Amino acid sequence: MSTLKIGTYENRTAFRPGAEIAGKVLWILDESAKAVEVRLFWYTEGKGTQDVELVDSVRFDDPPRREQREFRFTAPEGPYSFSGKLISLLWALELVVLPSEETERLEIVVSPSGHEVFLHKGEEIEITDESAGQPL
Amino acid sequence: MGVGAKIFMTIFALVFVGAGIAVLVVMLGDLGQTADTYEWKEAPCRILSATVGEKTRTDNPYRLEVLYEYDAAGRRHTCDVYMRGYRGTDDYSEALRAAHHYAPGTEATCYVDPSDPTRGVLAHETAWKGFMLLFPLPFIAVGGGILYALWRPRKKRPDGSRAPEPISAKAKKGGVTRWLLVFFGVFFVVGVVATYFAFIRPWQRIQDAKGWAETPCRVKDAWVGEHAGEDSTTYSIEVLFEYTYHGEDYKSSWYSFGSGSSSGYSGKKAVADQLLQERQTVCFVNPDDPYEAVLNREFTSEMWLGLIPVVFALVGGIGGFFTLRSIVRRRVLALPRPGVEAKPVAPPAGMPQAPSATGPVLLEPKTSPVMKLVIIAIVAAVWNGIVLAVLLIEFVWFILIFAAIGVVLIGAVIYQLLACFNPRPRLTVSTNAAPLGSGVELRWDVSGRTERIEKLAITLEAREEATYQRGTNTYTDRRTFAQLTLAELSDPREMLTGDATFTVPPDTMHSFAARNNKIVWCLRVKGSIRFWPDVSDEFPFTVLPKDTRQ
Repeated sequence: MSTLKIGTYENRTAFRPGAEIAGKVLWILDESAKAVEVRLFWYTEGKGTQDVELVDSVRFDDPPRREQREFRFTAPEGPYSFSGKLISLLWALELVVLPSEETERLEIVVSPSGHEVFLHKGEEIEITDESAGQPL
Repeated sequence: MGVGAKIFMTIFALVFVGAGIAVLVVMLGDLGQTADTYEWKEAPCRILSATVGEKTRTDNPYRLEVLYEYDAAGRRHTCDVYMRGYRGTDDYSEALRAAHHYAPGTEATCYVDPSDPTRGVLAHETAWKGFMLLFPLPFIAVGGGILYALWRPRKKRPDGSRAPEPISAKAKKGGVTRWLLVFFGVFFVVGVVATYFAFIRPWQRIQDAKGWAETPCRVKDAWVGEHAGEDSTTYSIEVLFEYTYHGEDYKSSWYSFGSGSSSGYSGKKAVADQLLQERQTVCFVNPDDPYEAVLNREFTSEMWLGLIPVVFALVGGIGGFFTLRSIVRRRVLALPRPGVEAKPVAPPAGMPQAPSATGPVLLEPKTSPVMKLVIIAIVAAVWNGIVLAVLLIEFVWFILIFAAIGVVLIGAVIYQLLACFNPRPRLTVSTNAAPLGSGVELRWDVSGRTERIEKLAITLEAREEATYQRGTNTYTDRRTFAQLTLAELSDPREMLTGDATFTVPPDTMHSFAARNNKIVWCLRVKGSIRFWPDVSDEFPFTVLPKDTRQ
């Protein structure tokens, strides 16, 4: 089992559209690999069949067994990270070793506010209010 | 994937692979028996006799029975094998044509087994049978691929737990889409070819047969052929009749030009019984090829079943079109591979398009009432047409359930027809794609008899749409998460025309459309009319992400 690490500078996990997503990856492979990739992508979770979209990637071919490399992406204008009652959309960075597909993932948020968008914010407040029996 | 789903998918894949391998083994065995004759040596031979054997009321009732002699290994041999694996045919004219081709005394070429000169054949199995081996291969490939994906060994963590799989690997790649294109392409080609043989060709033959010679003929036998399927048995009218054309005697087994069989026994039995009772009747003989003759040259109701492959062609054509469109769009959005340095990236798939027009834009309804009427009318016509066709062939009780659904569909057509006479709302907006938090000017006009509308409401709505599979069915769940009332009117004069300004909520989600998950924004017009279908129109509206340049 290889050791894989992925991290962003200043441990940032929230990015506004257009912001730079930069950090470092480290790998210590227990066997030689064809390539190592850092991927920026979003995926959905929830009731609908999962959608996954690879937005950007950096590939390091014929990687040495032990290495530390830097990556930089630009957060696109969207889609925003959001959470609804049927669908949630999440952004993540993945470090993937090929062809074994060993992986390490770091979840991030892409939105103008730096927080994921809650679609049913109003409804949730209403429900909490009723159940708690006191004003929020 | 849960344990239950994994077990289900494994069983599904095993069935796929198992069925594919079983069919392949049977085909290989069958082919192996016949293919080795291609290695046999050519030898001149002389036909001693050639007749057509008849064994009506069985599968492949007609058979070329041939006897020929040839010299091999210094001796004369006689043989009666026409072709390895030959089991006869259900088309008498095919066997008769071959019998006339190998008339007694004809010098022909046969093929002799060099290791056993007593074994010979007069003809090879056609080579296209080898191509049939390709058919089970997709089953094995699909099943094997699923099994590999489910059970391929994955690395484990030091604590023994399974290492996570990369989610990003599930991103749709061009290769998958191209395979989808091949899949739909095969569907389309198979649909078109099957439609040609099942419907177009019989129809062409009916047209040709209008010029065929009406000739007296005698029915030798007539019966109902039974064809056992997986779920049910289908039937066909089988016949053998003899006729004389230009002094030559012929026989044919063509009742009509329809190919295949269908459900419904009694109607076919009545036809067969009547033929047996009458015996003497007329057939229609092709003057250019007197081996071809048919008893009934009319279009029969069963022939409509030959249009069923059109569904395959449509699925293949429409699926192929949309797959091709997605490939083209994906190429437009192709992302650069920037290396270590960050570069601006193109908007990812699923993102809304910038405004297509500036200035006031007239919004198009999602589906116009006329379009809804056309769609429902087509569905009702196809459904009721099939029900009627089945009823014409034979009455069966269970068809009443389908007929009841047909009546409901007719009711839906009438409802939608009435809705076409409703007042029509038209919405004009200052832009058809507005960023979150921006202002939009809206103007509405309602044409027609607005006085019939009791209450009219115009709202801005946003909803989640999640599409998922359950079994073989596809479902879409919808959940509204934003609703902004822009106008609520009860005075018909105010309904005629008016305007409003609204702000798109700033802290919510913009429009988004992935393959299975969507965020849909729309303007909705609802008007209630007493004793009449309500006005209910949806106008898609695009909400863009916040303008970050501001």
